[in-house]
Amino acid sequence: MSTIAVGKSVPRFDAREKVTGEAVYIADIQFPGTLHVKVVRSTIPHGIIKSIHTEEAEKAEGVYGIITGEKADFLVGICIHDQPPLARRKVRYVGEPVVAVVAETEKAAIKAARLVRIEYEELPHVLNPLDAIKEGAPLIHEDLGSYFHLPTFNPKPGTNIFHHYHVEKGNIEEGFRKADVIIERNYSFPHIAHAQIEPHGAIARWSKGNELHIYSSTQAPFIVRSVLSRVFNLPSTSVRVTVPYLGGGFGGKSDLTIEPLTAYVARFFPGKWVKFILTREEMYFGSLIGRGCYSTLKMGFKKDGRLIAAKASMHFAGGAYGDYAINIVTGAGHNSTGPYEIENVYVDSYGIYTNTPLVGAYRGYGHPEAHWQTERHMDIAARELGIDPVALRLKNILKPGSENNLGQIIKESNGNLEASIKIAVNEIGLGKEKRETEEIARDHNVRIIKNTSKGLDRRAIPVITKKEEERFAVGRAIAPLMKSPVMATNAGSSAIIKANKDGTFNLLVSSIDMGQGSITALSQIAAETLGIPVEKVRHYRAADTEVTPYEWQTVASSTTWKAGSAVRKAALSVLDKFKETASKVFDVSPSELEVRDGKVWYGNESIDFKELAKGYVFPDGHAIGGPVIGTGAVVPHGLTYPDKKTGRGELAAEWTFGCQAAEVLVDRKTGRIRVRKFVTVLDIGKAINPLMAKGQVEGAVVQGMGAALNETLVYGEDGRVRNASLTDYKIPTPEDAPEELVTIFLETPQPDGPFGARPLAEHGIVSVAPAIANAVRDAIGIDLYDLPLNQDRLLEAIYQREKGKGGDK
Amino acid sequence: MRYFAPASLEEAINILLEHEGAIILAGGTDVMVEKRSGKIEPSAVVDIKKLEGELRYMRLSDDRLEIGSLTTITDILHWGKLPHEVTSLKDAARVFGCHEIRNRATIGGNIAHASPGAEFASTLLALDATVQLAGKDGKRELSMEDFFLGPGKANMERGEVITGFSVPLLSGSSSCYMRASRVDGMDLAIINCAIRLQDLDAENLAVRAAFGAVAGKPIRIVEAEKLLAREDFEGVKRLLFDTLNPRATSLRAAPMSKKLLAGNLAEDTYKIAKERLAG
Amino acid sequence: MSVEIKINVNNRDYRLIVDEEDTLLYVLRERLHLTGTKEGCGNGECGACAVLVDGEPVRSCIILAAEMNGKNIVTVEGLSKVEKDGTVKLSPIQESFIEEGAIQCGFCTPGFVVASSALLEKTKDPTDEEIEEYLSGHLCRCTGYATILKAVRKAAEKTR
Repeated sequence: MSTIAVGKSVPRFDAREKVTGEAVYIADIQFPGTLHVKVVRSTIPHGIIKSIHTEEAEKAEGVYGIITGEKADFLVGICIHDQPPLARRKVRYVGEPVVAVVAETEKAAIKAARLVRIEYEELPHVLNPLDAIKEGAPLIHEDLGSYFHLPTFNPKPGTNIFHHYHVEKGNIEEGFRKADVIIERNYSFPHIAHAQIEPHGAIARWSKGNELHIYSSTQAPFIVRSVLSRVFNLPSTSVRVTVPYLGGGFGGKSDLTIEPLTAYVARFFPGKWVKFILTREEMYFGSLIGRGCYSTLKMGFKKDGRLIAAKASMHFAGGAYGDYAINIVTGAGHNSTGPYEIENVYVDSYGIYTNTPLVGAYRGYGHPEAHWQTERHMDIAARELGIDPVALRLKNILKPGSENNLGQIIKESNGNLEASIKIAVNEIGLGKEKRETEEIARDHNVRIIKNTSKGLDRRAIPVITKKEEERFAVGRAIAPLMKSPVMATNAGSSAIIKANKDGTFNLLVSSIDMGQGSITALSQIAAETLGIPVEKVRHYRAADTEVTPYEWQTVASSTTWKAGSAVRKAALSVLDKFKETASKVFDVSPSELEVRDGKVWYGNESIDFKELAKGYVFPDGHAIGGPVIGTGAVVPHGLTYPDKKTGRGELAAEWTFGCQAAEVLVDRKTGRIRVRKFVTVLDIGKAINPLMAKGQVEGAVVQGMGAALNETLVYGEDGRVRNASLTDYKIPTPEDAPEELVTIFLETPQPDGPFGARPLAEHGIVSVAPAIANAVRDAIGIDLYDLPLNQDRLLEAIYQREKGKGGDK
Repeated sequence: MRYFAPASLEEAINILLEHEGAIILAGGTDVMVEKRSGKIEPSAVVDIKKLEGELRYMRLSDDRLEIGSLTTITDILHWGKLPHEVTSLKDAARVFGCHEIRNRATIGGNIAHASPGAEFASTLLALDATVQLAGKDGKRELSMEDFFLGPGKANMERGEVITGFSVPLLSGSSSCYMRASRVDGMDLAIINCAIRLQDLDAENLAVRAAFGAVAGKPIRIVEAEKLLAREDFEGVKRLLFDTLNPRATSLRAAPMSKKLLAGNLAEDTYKIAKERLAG
Repeated sequence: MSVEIKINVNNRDYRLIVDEEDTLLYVLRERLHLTGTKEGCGNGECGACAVLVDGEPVRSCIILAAEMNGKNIVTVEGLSKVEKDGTVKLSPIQESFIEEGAIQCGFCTPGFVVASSALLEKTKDPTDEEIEEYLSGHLCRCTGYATILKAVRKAAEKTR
């Protein structure tokens, strides 16, 4: 198919603003007379607020007011309403906002905040979800039974379980009875931080006419509007949410975080803009964190390698409030046993309150947790069965005609997992013979796009050690993946396209370009549909609930696929209107008209879009049509609620399949793992913009490497996050990028995706950790089950093994 | 907080004495971070960068290298005349912070905080350097051993300013500094090791080995030096594993890791120094 | 307490009374409204606040404005040139960042661009070691760095 906009590596349209420093982010917005908020946070993990002393702080210079949660008569939440905007009566984690100090300047607010004193009566606390479900564990929410929740969620009042999701397929007991080999292991994925470089922030103002306008670096302006209008009892028209450029989200700015607090505090200062920007430290406990999953996986195989039974039990440490983690619990449950067809499945996924910061969406949304257990497990199983790990996987993967855990039948058009695995195996050098990747793609009749990026020469590896072969070990392994978006059944997207008289078009959507490139990709989809060069489409830069049309939220890698479909429909509706007017000019039926090159054609005669944009004017001056605006809207296809008993149903709107592979160098002496080469193969349907699609994968891989190798929030016994800084919570640096980063896209078109596109932005993170850990196993023969694979883990494991061998060290 | 920018050493010393709670600001790369975190709340900062003319230098004499306390880490990294005997200074500079930090941070500042894992602390300790201080009663010079007292505690009186370091250049010697870190880019050391070797005769080497972030201050471990001199690396590993007792509160590695890493790092550092000794 | 400083920022002279505790970053952003320079951490750890002081890149979040008296400062806003007719000419490094997809969310971009510009001032043919020297302390959470490295290499080619 020849295209004019889609499939091209157009440089991103917002790049010029970003590279010159012009792009405005939340902290850059400076309204005259802005008041600044500093929050005083709980210093204990669990307890009763006995008294709050604000007298001294109130007298401090520049202070406008000190706000407590006392007057907040509402609970925040979407799926379950369990959180006050500022703590009331109780605190449930170290870092929970208790008092907000509002002052003329940020400095004054900080100084006054130091003068606030809070007395607590401490209660026993619990940090680990496995402890939190034990008999006699401290109860974090006594009122769980009285919280509003959507009917699809399943809280257990009187316990710390705020959601239990269960999936059942076949008969698990019979499955294990028939199995020849049964393997069971425990796995863990700790809490990690998104570490977006932009700290989260919001600026709110209540007008004196009781209308709320809030700017926020949120991924979810319509969620924010919906919740704020509910809790403040305002019509949607009285709450306006505007999103400027967003400096990285990765899920950490989705749903809600600091917006209810900011709006609640601002309400006491009508007419004033009230600005609340988190510090870097607060980003580790003041908004959302990610993951925190402790799981047990048991699988039963036949001798020939057929996987016939899988039982997964996943326990999520959701933090002190559960609303943001609740869907992760479900999402992880959907695909908890990986991209395999298994006859008998039994999954329990629990969301559990813990006295820790709140867990929310984090790139991958339950899938990295699920794949960490499953893809490690498949490697372990392969060894126990004496079957090649690649062969074992190929034997069991979901293929066209397979039934997944949820009862959905996989179709050819869902993507080619088999080809993805074979290509990854070949690229990482695990194949029997090295072949051309293009050749393998031809075997499978699938189009590919391949890119190889180079990192820095790794001179940090000490020169001396290159001579020491026995010190360094190289390992290679794969880990396949699947991910489906987890979303509300009516998670809609809509788009508006306005035609201009010079043949250009304005595009309005409310998806947020937080770096993934939707401004550019959606413009490409609009341009392709309209048949015009992409430069003629201008995507509105901000999202604004009063201006731009509804979008559920920018999560689940769904923008190109779902918002893109809405954009395509909007563009088609523009063309319909052009044709309708043109049909009157030509006096023919619209169906006899064609559109190309920015014109509507009837045979050899044409009318330019320019002449139709504002309505057509005949030579005598009379006009028809009128200004052209196209709209488009979609909801995911046929999603249903899960069956109450089996947890099954039409729960995934689509899947993206793929496979990742790692080549690692393990330094036995330092316990350092360095990723030399990393391969990601994804069947993305269609690369709307290959350059940006590749950027998504490369970024996801390196972010995933951080979590695989280093990142973990470290809690003190008192529940405090001890490493709340970029100094102590170390994310990958330019030197840590792999020397070779290979990204290969397969293009099996997605029927309901615009131009065949399907989601891809999260997927590059899903199997990074298991691919690396499997490669480490290949290198040094040690199986690891807990992340991160840092020096402490490696050195300890190597030491224990040596000790076990009878050596003294 | 007051800000002072004295034009002379004497003035700087006087301001420090006059203002209780005043601290010296050189590159500011530590002071500003500690101030922001609330770890320190200085009543005043005394910016001594106007003394650069006096305190930012690297000079060679026959057998010593003199380094002014306001010498930046970038100065050290890119000084073309750095004698090969003290290449460890360049090793330390190379992994120190990042370019922008190196452009501001000074060697004096790196030492003054007596941070147990400071790059130049173990390096200067292994090189047997001395630190020069100026105060109201004049100047004094201390060995690095005597300078470090404990975590964050240096042997400095109120009103004293580090003016420079004097590093002996032993003939037939070489040195190396290495660290273990979590990532390859900007990071603080998990532990570090600095070693100086000197050829005594055809058979014998004199070894000075200093370790950072394994105890409350950078330390020399004489027993390890002896084992290294015999190239008994397994012995060094055993010794350090058995004797080191790092604090359990480190956010960069568990005590066990530090104990396991120390000997390996010492071996690597020694081997590179040895290669350098050979030329 | 306050102190008066005279600084030149992006070729304009300013005389400012600043609080002795104000950082350079604060003064650039809140006083001069040059918000292109970002605060990612306030601790000198991420690099988003990099600016040039007398031609050398530094981290403006851990420098007091008071220390800057008499200095020449260039921020990201000063890297592109405005021609007499008002047209804007980007620097080669800015162009390469755009072309190579080295920008995603863009929040770290000003710091990377400032540091890379300093690198290319120093050498037209940077080795990997020199790129590492200038950029290893800059954090980006979006790109995985490969496109940034490619952009720097490409900009170097352009300027040669």
